[in-house]
Amino acid sequence: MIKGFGILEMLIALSLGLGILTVIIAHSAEAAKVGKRITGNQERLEAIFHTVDTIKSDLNKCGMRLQEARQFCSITPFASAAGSFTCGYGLADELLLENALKGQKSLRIATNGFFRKDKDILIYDVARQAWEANEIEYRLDGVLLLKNPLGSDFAANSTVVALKRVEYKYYPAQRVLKRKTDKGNFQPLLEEVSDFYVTFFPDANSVLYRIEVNKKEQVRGYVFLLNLV
Amino acid sequence: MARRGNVVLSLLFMMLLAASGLALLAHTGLHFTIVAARQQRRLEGAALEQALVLSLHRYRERLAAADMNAFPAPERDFFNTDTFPDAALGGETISQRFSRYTLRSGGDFRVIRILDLVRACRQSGSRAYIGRAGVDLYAGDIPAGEFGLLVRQKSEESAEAFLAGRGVEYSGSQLPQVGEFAVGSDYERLLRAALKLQVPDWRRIREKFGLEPLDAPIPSGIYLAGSDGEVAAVFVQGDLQKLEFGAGDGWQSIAFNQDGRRCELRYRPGLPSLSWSGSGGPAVAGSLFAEKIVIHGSVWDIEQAGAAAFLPEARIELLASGRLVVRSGLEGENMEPGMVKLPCLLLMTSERDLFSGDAVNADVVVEGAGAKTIQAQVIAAGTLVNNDGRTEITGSLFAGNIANSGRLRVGAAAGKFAFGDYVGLGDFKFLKNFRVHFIQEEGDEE
Repeated sequence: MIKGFGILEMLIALSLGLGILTVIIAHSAEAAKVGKRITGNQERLEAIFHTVDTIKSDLNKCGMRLQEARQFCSITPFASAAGSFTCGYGLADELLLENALKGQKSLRIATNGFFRKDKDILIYDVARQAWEANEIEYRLDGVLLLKNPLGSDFAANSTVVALKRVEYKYYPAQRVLKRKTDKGNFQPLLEEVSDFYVTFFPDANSVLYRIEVNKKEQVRGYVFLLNLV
Repeated sequence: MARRGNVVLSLLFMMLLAASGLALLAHTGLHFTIVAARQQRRLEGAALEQALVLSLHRYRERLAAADMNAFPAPERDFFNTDTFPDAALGGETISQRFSRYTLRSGGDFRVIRILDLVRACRQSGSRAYIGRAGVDLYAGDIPAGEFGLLVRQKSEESAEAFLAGRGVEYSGSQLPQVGEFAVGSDYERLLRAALKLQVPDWRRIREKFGLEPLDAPIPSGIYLAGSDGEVAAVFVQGDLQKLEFGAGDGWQSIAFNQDGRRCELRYRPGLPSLSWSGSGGPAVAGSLFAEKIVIHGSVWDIEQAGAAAFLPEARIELLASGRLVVRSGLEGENMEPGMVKLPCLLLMTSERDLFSGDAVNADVVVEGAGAKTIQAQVIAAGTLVNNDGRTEITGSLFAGNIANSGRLRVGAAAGKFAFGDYVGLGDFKFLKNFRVHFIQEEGDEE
C-alpha cells in the first residue's frame, strides 16, 4: 500500500503551487495598488463633494433671518477677498417678551437652545428702525444676560436673532481649504487644493466659486444668494 | 488504505477563497446600499424642499389675489387652517401653522405680522423640511407713505397683470394694490404743521414772512418759515424753473432757480448749521432745517448737482401743488451695490391748489433717456409718467395712474416722511412685506 504523494507528484504539485501562488501574489499586489488608487480617488471625490455640499449649504443660508434687518442695519451677510469668503445668517430668532431699556444687560425671550453662552446676537426693532449687535454672557432659561449694556431702548416684540458666521480660507502653502464657524478655529475641509477663488456679483446677488484639486479636478459653482434678494 | 493528497489543505484554501469572496461581496453590497441610501436621501430632501418652495409660492399667490377688506379681522378670519388646510402635494404632506403679533399700533392704524410656519414631510418617513414666511397686515386709516406700491385706478385685471401691462417691475416682497380707492387728504393740516401756522391763509402767511398783512397772495419768491432757531420749511410762491440737490463733505445743498435768480440752501441734517444765500440769509444762519419744502406751483426741472444728490441722513420732503419734472437721476452718497437704497426725498403732489382748491395737473414726470436711479418716495396725486428711460424709484409709489413708455422699477423701500401722513386711505386693510425667512431641514439648524 502506497501512502501519501510520490516524489515526482510532490515536485510537480509544488512547482504548480508555487507558480499559481506567484501569479496570485503578483495579481493581488497589483490589485491592491489599483484598489488603493481607486479608493484614494474616491475619497478625494467624496471630500470634494462634501466641500461643495458644505459651501452650497452655507451660501444658501447666507442672509437667512436677516432679510428684514438688512434694510436698516449696516450688516453685510457676505464678504469676500482673495482666497477667502465669509457668510453670516440667523441661526434662530425669537421675539422680545418684554421691553428692554437702554443700559439694561438682559433680555427676556422664549426658551430656545440656540441662544447660548458666547453667541453673537442681533436685536432690532422694525418700527423704530433701531438695532444693535451684542453677545450672550450666559442664559437662564429664557433670560439672556448680555456682555454689553444695551445702547437703545427696544420694545416688546422686537426681534432677537442668534447669529452664525462661517468663514472659508485657502492656505496656499499648505494647499488646504479651511472652514471656521463663529469664534472657533479654522478646520481643514479639503486637502491638496491647488487653487481656490470666489467672486461675488452684488447686482445679481450671486457667488461664483472655483476649487482646483491637485491641478487636475476643477469644481465650479454658481450659487444664487436667495436670502440677499 | 492508500491516501493520495491532503484534502484538508485544499479545503482550507477553498474556504479562504470563499471567505474572501463573500467579504468582498458583502463590502460591495454594503457600499452600494450606502450609495443608494445617500442618493435616496438627497432625492428625498430635494423633493421635500421643492414641495416646500412650491407651497410657499402658492401661498404668496393666494395672498396677492386676496382682498383683506373682505374680512372683518383677516388675522383670524383669513390666516387659519380652514383657509389653508393640510394638503398633499405629490408624495409630500404640507401643513401650515399661523402665529401673529402686533408690530406697530398707534394713531388710527395697526400693523400685525403674520408668520406662517410651513412643514413638508413624506407621508411615510420622519424627514421634514420647514420654512417660515412672514407678511404684514395693515389695517385702519393708512397713510400714503405706508403703501409699497399703490395705483388708484379702476382695473378689471389683477394688480400684477395691471402693472405687468405697464412694464412696471417691483420686488417680490411687495403685494401691490390697484383699484379705485377713495383717497382722503388734508393739505390744510399739512400746511399748518409745515409752516407752523394756526390758520394757513394768505394774511397769516404774509405775517409769517414779514409782508404787508393782506388777503392777497404773496409775490413770487422763495421764503423761509423760520422761528426759534429753526427753519420749519421753505415756501415757494410760483413755479420753479430748476431745483438742484447736491451733497458732499457732510453738507446737503438745495438750489432754487426761479425767474433767473438762484438761491442756495446748505445744511448738515439734524444739526443747527443752515446757510442761505437768498434774502434774509443772516437772520436764519446757523438754524436747524426741518427739510420741508412747499411749492405753490410746479417744478420744471429737478436735477442732481455733482456726484451725489443726498447725504445718507437727508430726508427732504417736497410738496407741490402742480407738476414735478425730474430730469436726472437722484442718488445718495451711499449707493454701494447690494445696500438697500432708502429714499432720501419725498416727491409729493397735490391735485388741488393749496389755497384756492382749483384742480391742477399733479403729475410726477421722469424725463430723459438712459438709466436713472431716483432715491425717492413718490406720492403723486396725478399720474407717474416715465418717458423712455430706464428708471428705478427706490422708495414706495402711491400714484393716481402710471404712464410708462420706458422701463420702470419700484424698489418700494420704506421711507419716513411726515407729509405722507396727510394723505391716505381710511378704514382699509392690505398686506405688505411678504418675506420667506428661512427654508431648512427640520432639526438641521446648526
